[in-house]
Order: sequence, then C-alpha cells, then structure tokens
Amino acid sequence: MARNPELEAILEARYDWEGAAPSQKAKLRDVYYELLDQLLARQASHGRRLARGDIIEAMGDEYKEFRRARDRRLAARVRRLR
Amino acid sequence: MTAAAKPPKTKMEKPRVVMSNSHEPRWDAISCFLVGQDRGEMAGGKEANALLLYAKSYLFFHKLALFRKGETARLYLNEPDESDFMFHRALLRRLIGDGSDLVKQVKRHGMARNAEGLSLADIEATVEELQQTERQWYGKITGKRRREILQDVFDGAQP
Repeated sequence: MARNPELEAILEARYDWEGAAPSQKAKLRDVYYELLDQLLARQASHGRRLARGDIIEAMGDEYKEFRRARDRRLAARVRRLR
Repeated sequence: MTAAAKPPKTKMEKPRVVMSNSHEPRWDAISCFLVGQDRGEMAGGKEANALLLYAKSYLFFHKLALFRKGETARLYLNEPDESDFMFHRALLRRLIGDGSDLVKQVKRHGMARNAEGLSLADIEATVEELQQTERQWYGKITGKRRREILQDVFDGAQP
C-alpha cells in the first residue's frame, strides 16, 4: 500500500472517479485532476516539468495495488453478508 | 386505464417526443434503440436523435459497469493470465472507441435532458478514465523512468 499521504489521496480520488455513478464522472474527474495539478504546480516551482500523463503512467502499479486491496476488502465484506 | 394511456382510435399517430425528466418510456426512443442505426448515421429528427443518443449513452455506461466488474474479477481478485490481458485490452479499446464516437455524436446532435443528470462532460470524462486505464496497464513507461518520477514527486514513495 502506498505510504505517502498525498499519493494515497490521489489514488483514492482516482478510485472514486472509476466507481462513480455516470452523472458524477465529470465532477470526480475534476477532483482527481485538481489534486494532480496541485502536485504538478509544486514540481514546476522546483523547476521540474512534468505532464499529468507522466504521473498517471508512473502511478500505474501503485493504483493497481490500491484497487486490488480495495476490491479484496469489498469482496470479503460481501462474502460475510451472504 | 387512464385517458392518457388509451391508444389512438383512428389512424396511427406519430409518437410525440417529450423532452422532460419523466421516467415514462417513449416509443420513438425504444424503436430507435431496438431497430436503430448503429453505424453513426442519425436519420431521425432533432429530438429523436437526442433521445437515441441518451439511450446509447445509457447502454454505454451499462457496458462500462460490466467491463469494470469483469476487470475486478479477472485482473484484481485473481492472478490474470495472457488471455485475460488479451480480452481486457481488446474490450478496453472497444469501449474507448464507442465512447469517443458517442462524444462526437452528442456534440453534433445533443442529448435529451434526463432524470439522471447525465451530460456530455460525463461521457468525455469516462473516455478519459478508460484511456488512463489503458496507460496504466499497457503504457510504455520504463521501470527506471517510473522510479525517477515517483522519487521526484512523492519523495520516494514506493509500495
């Protein structure tokens, strides 16, 4: 599991976007991009130029791990309810 | 049966398109959906096209939900094999293509107002979401570049 709280918040926002109801997709995408853009702005202030796509692709494995943990937790909860 | 529900007594009337937030089924939308054009041509009137595109959007989100469910089961809750990735990638591309076509059509013809509050922006956001899924699973970034970015941006946060 990702330990950095900022990374954790971004992964959470992406998970929420993926799981959103259709009419909430644009709203939750904007929340996710807002977090990414804050990060990019801070990087730019340190002279590091990155695009959203760079971070998104770099976080790919972190997101897989995050979603796998969430999906497993959800599946276990559903099994307990049955 | 209420007066409103009675079929017309004389000749067949053309179904009226009602643009409202009602959940009532509409024959023009249903027939467009069942018989309809699936090759992008939009032969109906403006309102019928808008209804058809709402119906297509609704179906698109059902396909997305089914895809995510399969993805969870095959790629996240199990150890995926080569055929899982093959199907996942092909279906992902198909959904991106369908979503992109839908965006173009809705930009051109509009979409009926709907009770769910679904908009063009939601469809666009969903196409982006799917493109990110594609990059996440099938992107070309190298391990070295990935580590560099994570190190720079998150001070070395690693799983």
